[in-house]
Amino acid sequence: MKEKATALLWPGLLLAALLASWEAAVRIWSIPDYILPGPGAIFQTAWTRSDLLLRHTGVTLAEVGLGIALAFAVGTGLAVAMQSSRIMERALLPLVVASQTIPVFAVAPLLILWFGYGMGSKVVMTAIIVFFPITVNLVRGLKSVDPDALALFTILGAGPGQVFFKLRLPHSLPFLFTGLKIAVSVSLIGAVIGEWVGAKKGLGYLMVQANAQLQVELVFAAIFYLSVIGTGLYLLTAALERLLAPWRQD
Amino acid sequence: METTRDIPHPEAASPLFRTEGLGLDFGQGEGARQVLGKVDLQVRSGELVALIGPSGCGKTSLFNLLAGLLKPSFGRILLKEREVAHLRGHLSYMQQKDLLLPWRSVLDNAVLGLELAGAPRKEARARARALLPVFGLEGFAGHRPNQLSGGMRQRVALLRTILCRKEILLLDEPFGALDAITRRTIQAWFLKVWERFRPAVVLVTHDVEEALMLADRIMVMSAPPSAVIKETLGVDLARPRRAAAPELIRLREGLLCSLEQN
Repeated sequence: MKEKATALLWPGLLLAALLASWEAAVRIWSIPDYILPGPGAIFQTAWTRSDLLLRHTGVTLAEVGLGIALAFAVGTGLAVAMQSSRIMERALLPLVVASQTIPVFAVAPLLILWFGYGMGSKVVMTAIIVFFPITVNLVRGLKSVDPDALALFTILGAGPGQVFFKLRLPHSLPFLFTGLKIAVSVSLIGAVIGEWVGAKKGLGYLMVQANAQLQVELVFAAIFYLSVIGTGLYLLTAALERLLAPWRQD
Repeated sequence: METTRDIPHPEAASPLFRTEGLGLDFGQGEGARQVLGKVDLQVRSGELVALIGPSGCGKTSLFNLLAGLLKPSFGRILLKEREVAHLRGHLSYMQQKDLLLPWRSVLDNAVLGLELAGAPRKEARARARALLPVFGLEGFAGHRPNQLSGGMRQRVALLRTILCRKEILLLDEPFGALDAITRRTIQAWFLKVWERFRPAVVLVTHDVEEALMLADRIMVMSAPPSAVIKETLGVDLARPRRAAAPELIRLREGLLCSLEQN
């Protein structure tokens, strides 16, 4: 516990120093708010306009949550298919990797066209970004089972179902969590890009609106909310990992 | 110190299982390489046999053939004089790696074999729990493998192996990864467990001392390629044995001599 506290101490101090010099710079050179507001003004906006910000946060959070859920379902299906059949793996893996060369930004207008201005297009966009780390890590987990452990299961007379559920799946849980942690860190990119391109709600939409009205402190406040969501999702995933795969700490 | 026990004389019984000219080639055609020559192995019920030989002499391949993990290229396996494809179902197999599942507790690792064989969970756990003290694991039922020492992990693996209650036990350098002191303790303790359950044991080892302390018979395998059993030594001494016993010293000389000729 003490080590954890000191691990947070130095980056915390550095962050405080950075914020302080930012605030000082803004005041010394009297930079106008519509160019660069100081952290004080930003936090004030984040607090006074929290009703508005929270409403849009809810939408973005729902998009990200549903996107991750969709990616998880598709990714698990793909991973199991690739693990269970060599032909499936040979056919699917290059396509899965190639899918990552398509910039999400490029397909965003199409997704808006197909799935509308509502949440649907953002959910899909998040899922597209997020399914890759989930799938790839899960495949790696399912396939990295110790051959000797497989031999042990064979000798003990295990059937294919038992091998999957009692060996492969628990073995790959830590790998899945590695994928999920990457996934939640990048998940906001999908949702926010979707909201920039075309939306009626969400923090990304709010940023575009505020930017156009030169309410730069509101843009920053939205960014602050986004980073809180990102950190929260990461911590939640890490906590879930400690709960479901506690043996990893060795 | 030495105690005498009524050990049924091995000659008395016909073999529980034996192999006839069992061998294995790796690869096919031109590149084929013989890993295991014609191995004739005989093991009687309740007997403890040690297989000793240079590394890479195909001892593990022999076990994999017996367990049905590999198919023999020639020769056959007989169980109670009836030819079988392999001995799976009649044997349990323990490797140098303990292969404990890190997500399972000690107790749940121990019952793995019973569980996979379809035993009711409650009953399996009760049986494992009853044996924890015998295996020096009392009070550790809920621990995870990563909380245990190497010696304890190996005992959990042995408990998992024993609980399957098979008549044949294959041990592939089970104590090889342990330090010398732990190994001696666990060997003495293993003898007690073996005497209690009395499976037929084939023990693969590099360790001359281990073979001498434990085995009824010691089989020396020749160097690769195409290893065969080239010599069998009977160790007709009561257990626990003293390393300094005159007869053991004589046997050790013979054994080392035979290994050096490889």
